[in-house]
Amino acid sequence: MFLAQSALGVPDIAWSSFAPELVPTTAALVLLLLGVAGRRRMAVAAPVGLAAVALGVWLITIELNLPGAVAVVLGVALPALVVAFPRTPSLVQAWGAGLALAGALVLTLWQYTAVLAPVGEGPMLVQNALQGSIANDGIALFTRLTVYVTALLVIPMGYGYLRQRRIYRSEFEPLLLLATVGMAALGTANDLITIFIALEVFTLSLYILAGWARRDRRSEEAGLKYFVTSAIASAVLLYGMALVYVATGTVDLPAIGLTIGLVTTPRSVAAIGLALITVGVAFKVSLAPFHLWTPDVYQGAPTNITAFMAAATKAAGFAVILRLYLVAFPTLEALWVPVLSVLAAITMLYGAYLAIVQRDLKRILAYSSITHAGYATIGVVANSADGLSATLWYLLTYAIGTAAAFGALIALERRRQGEVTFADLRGLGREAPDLAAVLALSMLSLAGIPATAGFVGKLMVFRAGIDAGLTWLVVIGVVSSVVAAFFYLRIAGVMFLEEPTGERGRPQVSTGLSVTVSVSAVLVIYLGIQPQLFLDLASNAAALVR
Amino acid sequence: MAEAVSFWVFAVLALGSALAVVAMRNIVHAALMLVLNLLAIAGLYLTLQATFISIVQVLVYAGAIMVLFLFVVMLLGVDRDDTLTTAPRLTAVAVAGAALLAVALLAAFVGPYTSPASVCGADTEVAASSDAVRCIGLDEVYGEDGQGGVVLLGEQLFGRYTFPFELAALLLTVATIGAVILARRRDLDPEDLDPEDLDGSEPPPGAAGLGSTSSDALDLDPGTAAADTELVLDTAADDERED
Amino acid sequence: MFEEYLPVLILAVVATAFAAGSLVVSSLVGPRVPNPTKLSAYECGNEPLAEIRTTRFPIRFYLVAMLFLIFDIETVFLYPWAVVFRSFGWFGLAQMGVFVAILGVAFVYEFGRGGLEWD
Repeated sequence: MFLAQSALGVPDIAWSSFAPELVPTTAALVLLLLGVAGRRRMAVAAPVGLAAVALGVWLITIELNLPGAVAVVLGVALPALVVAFPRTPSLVQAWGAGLALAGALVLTLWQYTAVLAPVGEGPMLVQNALQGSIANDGIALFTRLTVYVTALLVIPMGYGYLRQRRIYRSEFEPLLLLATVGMAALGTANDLITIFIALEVFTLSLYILAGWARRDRRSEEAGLKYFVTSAIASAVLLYGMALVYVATGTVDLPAIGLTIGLVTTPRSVAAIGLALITVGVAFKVSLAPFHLWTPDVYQGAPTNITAFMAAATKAAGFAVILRLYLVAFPTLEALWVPVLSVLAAITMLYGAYLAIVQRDLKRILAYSSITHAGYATIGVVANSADGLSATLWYLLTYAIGTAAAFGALIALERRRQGEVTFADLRGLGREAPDLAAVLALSMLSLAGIPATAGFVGKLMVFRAGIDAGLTWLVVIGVVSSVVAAFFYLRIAGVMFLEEPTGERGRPQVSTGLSVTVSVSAVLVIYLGIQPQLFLDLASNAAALVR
Repeated sequence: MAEAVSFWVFAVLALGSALAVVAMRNIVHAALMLVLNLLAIAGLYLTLQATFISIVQVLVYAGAIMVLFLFVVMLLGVDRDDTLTTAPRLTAVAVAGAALLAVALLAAFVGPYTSPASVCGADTEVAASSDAVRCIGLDEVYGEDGQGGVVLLGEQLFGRYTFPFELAALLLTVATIGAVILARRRDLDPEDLDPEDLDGSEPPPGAAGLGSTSSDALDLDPGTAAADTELVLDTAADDERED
Repeated sequence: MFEEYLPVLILAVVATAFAAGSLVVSSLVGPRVPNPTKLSAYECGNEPLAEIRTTRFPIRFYLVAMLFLIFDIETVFLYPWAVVFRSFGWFGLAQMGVFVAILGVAFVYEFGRGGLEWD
C-alpha cells in the first residue's frame, strides 16, 4: 500500500515546479535575520546578495534567463536597500518583501508561459512533480496569482498603518511571506500530508498576525478565537484524512480518486472521512454554519491583516477544496454535492442577512466575505471544468475587490483612530472624492454590478451552476446578491448623498496606501471591462493533475 | 495471543483515561489522565510493532507537550476551587455530536470489516488475491523491517515526502517566531523602531498626537506608553456614534 | 516479537511493585512520633509566603518549554534520517542540511531577539 506508491531512492527534483515559492521563502528567512541584525545588517545582506547574484548568473548561463534575472535583481536589491535606507530598517523590510513577492509573481508567470504553456488552443499542460507531492496545474497557477498579488497589495497598504498604531515589528513581513508560501504550497499540494502541513504553515502564521496588536483586546481576542476554532477544525480535518487513508491505503489524491471507485474499498469509512474533511475545510473558508469565528476575528485583527486573511485565505482554502473534491472524491459526488450545495445556500442567505444589520464596516466586510464563500462554492458543486475555472476566476476578482475595500477602510481608520461606522462615511464623497470613489468601486465590484470584475465572476459562477442543473442554488445566489447589493450600495450612497457631520479632517492616505488602492481599483475596472485575457487563462486552467 | 491481550489492555486504558480527561473536575488531574492516555496510545503503537512512533509518542507527547500543558496550567494559576463548568446545553450538544460520530464510525467499520465478504484474518496471500474489503496488514508494512518502521519511515520521508518535510521546517520556524512574540512583554522592540523615529526629527505619519518629544517615543514601558500609543478602540468608538 | 518485550514488562512490574511496596512497608512498620515541628509545612526553613495556587509562573518558562519542543521535533526527524541517509547520498545530506539551516535561522532569530535571556 504505502510502499507501492513510489520507488525508493532519490526523487527527481523538478525545481521549476516550486520555483515561485523559493523566492518568498528565502526572503522571509533573510528578512527575519535582518530584523535582529541591528548594526550588522550589511553582514547579512552582502553575502546573501552575492550568493543570489552568483546563482542568477549561473542560471542565465544554463539558459534559464528569467529566473536568473530575478535572482540577480533581488541579489543586487538587497544590499542596495540596506544602503539606501540606513536609518529606516522597516523600509528595507517592506521593500524587500515587496520585491520578493514581485519576483514570485514573475516566476509564476514564467512557469506558466515556459513550463506549462498551452499547446495551441488546448488546455494547459499539467505537471506532476516530486513523485506526486506537487501538482502544477490550473489551481496552482491561480492560487499563486491570487495569493502573491494580494500579499503584494497588503504590504504597502499596511506599512504606515502598523507604524501609526505603533504595532510595527520586523517579524511582520517574514510572517506574511511565510503565510503566502504556505498558501501557495496548499494550492500545489497533491497529497494529504502536504496539504495538511501547508495548511498549518499559513494558519499558524495567521494566528500570530491576527493577535498582532497585543494591547488591543479585540486583536488579542481575534488571535485566540482564530487559534482555538481553527485548531479544532484542523484536528477534525486530520481525523477525516486519517479515515480516508484507512479506507484507501494511500494519501496521494489522484490515487485516492482511483481507489475509492474499487469494490474493495470500504466506502462507508471513506464517506465518514469525507464528512469530517468537509467540516474542516468549511471552517477554514467560513461556510455557514462554521463561520462563527469570522466576524470577530476579522473585526479584531489589524485591518491590513484582515485584508490579507479575507482575500488570500479564501483562495488557498478553495484551492484545497477544489482539489480534494474534484480529484480525490469525484466518485463520491452523490454525497458531497448535496451537502456542499446546502452549505452554500445557507452561507449566501445568512451572510447577506447578517451583513445588513451590522454597523461596523469591518464586520460588514466580514459577513460579505462569508457570503462570497457561498458564491464561490457554487462553482465547486457544479463539479465541471466550467465550474472550476469560474471559482478560480471568482476568487481572484473577490480578492482584488476586498483588498481595495480594506485599503480604503485603513485610510478612514487612520483618521478615526478606531472602528469605522456609517457615521464616518457621511459626505466622504465631498471630503475625499478619490478615496470615496475607490471604496464605492470596490463595493460595486463586490456587489457584482456590470463593468466591474465582480460582475464577470458572478456571471461565470452562476452560469456554471445552471449548466450543472443547480438552478435552485443559483436562484438563492441571485436573491442573496440582491440583498447584498443593498448594503454595498448603502455604503456608496452614504458617502455621496449625505452631508458630512462635523469637522474631521481629511483621511490619511500615505503613498503606499494610495498606490495600493489605485492599483487595485484599476485592476477591478480592467478585469471588468477587458476580462478576456484572464478568462482564457481561467478556461485553460481547468486542466487538472488527476 | 500476547498481541490481543496487550491490545485490549491498552485500548481499555486509552478509552478510560480519555473519558477521565473530560470528566475530571481538577485540571491537573485531567492533565495527568492525558499523560496516561498518551502512554496507552504509545502502547497501542507498540502492539502495532511501530516502535519508533511509539518512542516518539512518549518523548514528544507524554514528555514535552505535557510539560507545556502543565506550564500553561501553572501560568494561569492552579485554583482548586475553580472547577470547570460548561453550559449544560453545550455539553449536551457535544455529547450528542460525539455519540453520533461514534455510532457512525462503528457502523462504518463493523459492516465492511466483519462481514463474510471481508478477508480480515485470512492469510496475506488470500487477502491480496481477493476482491473483498482490504485489511491493510501490518506484516506487509512492517513485517520484514525489523526496526520498528524507522527505515520505512526514513525512506518515505526523505524520498517521496521531501517537499512536506522541508515545509515542516518552515512550520517550526513560524512556531518559533510565534513563541518569541507571544512571550515578549513589550509591544515594540527598540530595535524595530527606525532610528529616525527615535531622533524625533521626523515622527512617523500620524504620530503627532502621540507625544512629540523623543523621550515619549522612547518610553516603551507598558504602563505609561499603553494608553497613548495604542489606538484605544473602545473610547474612540463612543465619540461620534450616531443613529 | 512479544518475547522481546518481556524484560520491559518485568522491569515495569518490578519498578511498580518496589515503589508501591516501599510506601506500604514504611507505613506499616515505620514508627510514628508526630510533633508540631514535624507537621509544619517545611521541617526546616520558613513558612511559605503565599499559597502556591495564587502565585503564577512567569511566561519565560513557557517560552523555554515551547522552544525546547520545537527543537525536540527537529531531533525526531534526525533519527530516521540517520538510519537511512546512506541510501540517499548527497541528496539526503542536502535535504537535512536545508532543514537544519532553516531551523538555524529560526535559532539565530530567537537568540537575537533575546528569547534565551532570562532578564
